[in-house]
Amino acid sequence: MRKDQIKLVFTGNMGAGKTTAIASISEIPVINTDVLMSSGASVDKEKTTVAMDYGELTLDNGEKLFLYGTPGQQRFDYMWQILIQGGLGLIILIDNSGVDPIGDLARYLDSFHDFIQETGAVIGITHTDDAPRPDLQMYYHYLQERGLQLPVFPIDARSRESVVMLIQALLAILEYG
Amino acid sequence: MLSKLATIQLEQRLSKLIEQCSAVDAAVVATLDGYTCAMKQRSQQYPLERLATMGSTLMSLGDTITAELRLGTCDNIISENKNGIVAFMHIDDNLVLITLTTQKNALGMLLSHSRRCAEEMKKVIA
Amino acid sequence: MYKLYYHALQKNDPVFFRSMLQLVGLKLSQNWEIDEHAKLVLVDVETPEGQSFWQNPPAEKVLIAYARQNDMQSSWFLPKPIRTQSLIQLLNELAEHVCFDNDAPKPPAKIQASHMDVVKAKASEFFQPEYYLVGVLQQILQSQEITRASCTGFPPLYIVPSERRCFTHQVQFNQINTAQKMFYAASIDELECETLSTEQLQQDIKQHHLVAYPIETILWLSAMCASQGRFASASTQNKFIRLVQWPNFALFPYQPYHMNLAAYMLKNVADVHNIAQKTQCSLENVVDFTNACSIIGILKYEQEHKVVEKQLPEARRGLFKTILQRLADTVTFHK
Repeated sequence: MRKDQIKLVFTGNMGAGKTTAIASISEIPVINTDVLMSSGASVDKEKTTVAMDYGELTLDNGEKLFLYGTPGQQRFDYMWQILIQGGLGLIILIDNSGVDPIGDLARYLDSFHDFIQETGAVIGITHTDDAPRPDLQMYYHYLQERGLQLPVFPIDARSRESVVMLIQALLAILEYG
Repeated sequence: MLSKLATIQLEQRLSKLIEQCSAVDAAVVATLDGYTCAMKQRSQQYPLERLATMGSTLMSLGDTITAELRLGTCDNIISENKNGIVAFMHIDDNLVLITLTTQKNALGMLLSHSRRCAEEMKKVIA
Repeated sequence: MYKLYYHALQKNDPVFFRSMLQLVGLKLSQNWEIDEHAKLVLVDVETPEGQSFWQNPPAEKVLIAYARQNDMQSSWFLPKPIRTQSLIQLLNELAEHVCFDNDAPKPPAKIQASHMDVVKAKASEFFQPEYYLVGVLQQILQSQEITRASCTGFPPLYIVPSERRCFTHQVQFNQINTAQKMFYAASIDELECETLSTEQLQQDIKQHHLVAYPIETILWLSAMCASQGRFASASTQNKFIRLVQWPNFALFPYQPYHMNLAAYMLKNVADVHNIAQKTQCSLENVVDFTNACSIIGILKYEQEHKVVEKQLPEARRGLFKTILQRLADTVTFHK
């Protein structure tokens, strides 16, 4: 691991809160590459990340912890492989109000399979207030079927405490898991 | 998304670009979020839809960098490679033109023809 | 007619269970039959399906843990393999204590113990949850009655078993003070329990601006506070244990080292001494954590030890510590 490359990677489906999560702990305004989405007959109001989000946190020893967010859409999966290079681990955010949240999770677990095997991952489920199902047990049941024992927490991506909790769990896995 | 007429006009303009500039081997018009609006190439060898997606990534990075550095607006991004050159430029706020040449010495021609094409396309869409 | 059903029973157990029920019929205080719509459900908690069901039961069901040992510390337990005497005892107690839809409402089981029992339990070197708030909560959940649990000097706790929620005044669970901990560690003789109607509950909620919390949060906290570093029994300190899933730290107040314990105990099967050594946690903290995990049903006992040695460079450990320190600066945790 290069001394100057300490990074955590946030991924997950569109609207799950990756940019928001990074913003909640970054000490700089998040640099993002969000553009308006084009869909239907006119340009939609919603935005999507086409390259990455970037935030950082300076550690007490002067080193920087880099926080990268991947684009959510599968079309940009080439960025996923670029961004995870040299990463410490992965934080997967899933929007529980989506059409198929567990299906979404499956895609990310597949796409990042090797990286997760080498490092670790933690899963944050957002928008559980709007959509209580699938519930946590359903996610754990699915992970069990895949032979994975990753932590799954319902979170609010706007909450610094929530995001810190995810990172704490990830580091615990890296050190003791 | 563009109207059918606008799309046809863009395709026609791309055909014209390839006819008029021997240096241009492929050209794509993409949305800012990486969808293909129109594409043309001399031979079916490049994955142009994939290029559109990656082009949007590069263009947004270019825009972000120039904004951070307060260098105005990002005019072009040029990728000079062993086997050719790819140029990326805005048509307007929503569309990107991506052009490709395998002739390593044709950067100037590629850029000038591409810029003219982009300006004409901007008028077509407007 | 009293009814019960079963869930996640393996192989011949369903057939065996039905046979045993018929066999003991004459010795039961009431008539019993198997009915898939029954409120009472016998759950094989040694299977993944059973564990999943146990942790997220349907509303209004009263669960009976079926296992070799009562690791779930469930109020209602049937040991494996099924013996006539234990089945008779269980069913007769259930008939006496649990409120059924097909019967006139019964008063809930009295939640009390003699003062001497409580004194002994408090002084005991072993943690006996049934003598504390945590045990009272488990009993209330089984009784399915809305109950107000009060302790002098503290706001009461309203338990709604069908919703698996509690209502109380707003609490910052990550900043519980010493006084509040006393409530969550209250012994059974310090608690007064009273059943309420739904209307009374709604009235109190409105009047006192009560806030709802998941029952798991209160179970976790009350187990942590009452445990005080004590093993559940003499044998548990040498037993091999592991977790079956992560505690939901989004709901539970936690310390950063709880994360380390969870990560280690999910990957490895070890006794508490080994766990304390490998995670550099005090034995007392490990025991409290394992007791809480047991209460919420995510701790499992195993026959064999299995530890995967993880070699991590010191530089990497140091880096994680630095990151955690920096993150802690941005968030306040309770000590």
